[in-house]
Amino acid sequence: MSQGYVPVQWNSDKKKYDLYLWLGVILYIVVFMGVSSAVFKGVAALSPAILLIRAFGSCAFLLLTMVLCIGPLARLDKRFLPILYNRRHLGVSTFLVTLIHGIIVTVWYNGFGVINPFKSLVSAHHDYGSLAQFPFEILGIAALFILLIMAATSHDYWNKNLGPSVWKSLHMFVYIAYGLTIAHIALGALQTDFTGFLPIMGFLSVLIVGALHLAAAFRENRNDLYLDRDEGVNIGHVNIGPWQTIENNQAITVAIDKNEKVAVYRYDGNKLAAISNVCKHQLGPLGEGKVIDGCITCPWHGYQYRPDDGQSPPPYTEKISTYHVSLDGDDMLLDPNPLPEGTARPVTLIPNTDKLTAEANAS
Amino acid sequence: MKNSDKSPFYVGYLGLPKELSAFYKLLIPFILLMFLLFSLWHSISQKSAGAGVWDLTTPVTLSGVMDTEPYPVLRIPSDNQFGMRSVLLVGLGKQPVNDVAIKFKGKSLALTGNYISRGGYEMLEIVGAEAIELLPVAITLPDVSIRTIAKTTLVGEIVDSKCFLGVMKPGEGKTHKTCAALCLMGEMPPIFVVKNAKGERAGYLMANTDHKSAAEISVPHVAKPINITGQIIRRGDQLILHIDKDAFGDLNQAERLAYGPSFAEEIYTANSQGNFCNIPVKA
Ligand code: FES
Repeated sequence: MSQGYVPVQWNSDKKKYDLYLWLGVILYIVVFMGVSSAVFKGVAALSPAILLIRAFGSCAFLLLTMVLCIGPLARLDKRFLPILYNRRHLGVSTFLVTLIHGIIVTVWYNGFGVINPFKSLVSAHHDYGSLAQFPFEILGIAALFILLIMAATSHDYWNKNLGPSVWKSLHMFVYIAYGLTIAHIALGALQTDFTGFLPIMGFLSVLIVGALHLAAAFRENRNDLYLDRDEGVNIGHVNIGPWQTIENNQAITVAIDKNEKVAVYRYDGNKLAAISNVCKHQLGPLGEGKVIDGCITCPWHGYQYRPDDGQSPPPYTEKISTYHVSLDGDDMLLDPNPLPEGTARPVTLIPNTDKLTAEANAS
Repeated sequence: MKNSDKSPFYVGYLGLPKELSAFYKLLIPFILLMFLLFSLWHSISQKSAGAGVWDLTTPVTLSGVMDTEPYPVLRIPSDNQFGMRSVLLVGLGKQPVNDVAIKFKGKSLALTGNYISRGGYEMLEIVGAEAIELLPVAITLPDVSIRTIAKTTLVGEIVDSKCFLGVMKPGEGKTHKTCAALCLMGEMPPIFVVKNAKGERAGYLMANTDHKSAAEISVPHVAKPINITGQIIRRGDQLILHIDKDAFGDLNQAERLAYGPSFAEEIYTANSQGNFCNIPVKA
């Protein structure tokens, strides 16, 4: 949250995360090099530099696929949230592995010659009109460039200074990088060899990434309550159903507009508070969070907000919009007009719920 | 999304809840295992790049007569049917040795370098000036005048000889294209690799009709299936395809499909030692 910036706020989980991540990368490269040199040996040996190019290239593609799977996985199953929490480490690692692939290609294929390696890299192919001869290197360079920008701006410092919306849009470019990578493989390596691992892996990757995103979108639509804002504005409130649908210390998410969602929380057993669903950090879904130590806690990276005024507890200074919610019998009535960020408004008490409160206190 | 109050909820600064560690004790090994399996699968599903050799362990010294046409070559007396073997000469990296070759043209020399070979082709990578030694006694060679064999049109792929013969494996196809173009710019001799119906491959050294280097005019056509119309000639033990700048033709869709993948595939088995060789061309 808004405290002094350090390059990485290390904790033991992050260290373990990076440890396993790089263990995976090293395992992949070492096994690939070892097995390839055992299978193709003697006069049939393949060039070690070309093996490295293949190993780092395909490993980067696997990592990029993982980066794209984590978001929807975490929405479908909360047990994946810890991987989401450190996703930026995975992103930066993906960039580094891709960079190594690019460096070896540039040096080995384009170095030692009579012209500048970078010129060589982009000038040999020039047939943009033909798929079979398309300069696939350009696609790879563009993907690497996007990964570079994302890795360079992955830090919270940039998130803060660009604003979460700009930052988020910037990081949506990962999908463009993924598309470019698929095209880079399809018009490059697959043009020389369409058998074996790469085509199947590419197909599986697109299938899994696509299916997970569809499933997560479907799940979100099913769980959200969709309401007509205009109608609500006319009469001053919308009925969002009985309070019993909300588990203690959790929320339901109400979509009052295409772009506006409200998280309605029940906590301490008998208290109701509605706040914006959008976390100030990286626009995480607050309605999928929990109340921990009296604060609404974002599921993505743990930013916290007080239910009574939508402000982060000091020393933090984040503020989000709050909403009025009232009760009509068991039904909750939500006023769809947001209050200015950080505005305190009376928390709604559910009457005759002494038993609930006692339960909550006991747990 | 609903979840029960008891469902584990992760907040980075609070650490991994107990309920989740069991999950991760399974998930982490599973992901590592997937990495291992993918790596295995990828490595064993690669294709052979043939039986080319680039020997960096022991430099080889060869004695013969320096010739410069169409490319720097050392002609060495031999008891084969042609009375000689011609060893192509290249510099380090993607650099030519043309200056040295012109300086020593016609001289009898002992050259030391890294030996490169594939099928019937031999090549020496010259490592420096100290690698060249003038021989006191001149070597005599049989006649190397040009004999015309046949005019023909062939379908195949232009490769740069240095990579294809063993320095890069594989040294052909689209992924290798920028390198092949760079090598041709550095005057590595171009070879036109063709395959017959049986999948056997042959390589013809390419030269201009004036028997000079065809490297430069080949650059735009390298590393893709094309057809070439030219005259096959023999000079000593070398089969050479004489071409001019109009010799190159694109394949139509049907021809490209018939040719197969642009990667001119070579089946390598330990017994065949790779079947890249000179397929005789009928007149
Ligand atoms: S999005 Fe990062 S904590 Fe909410």
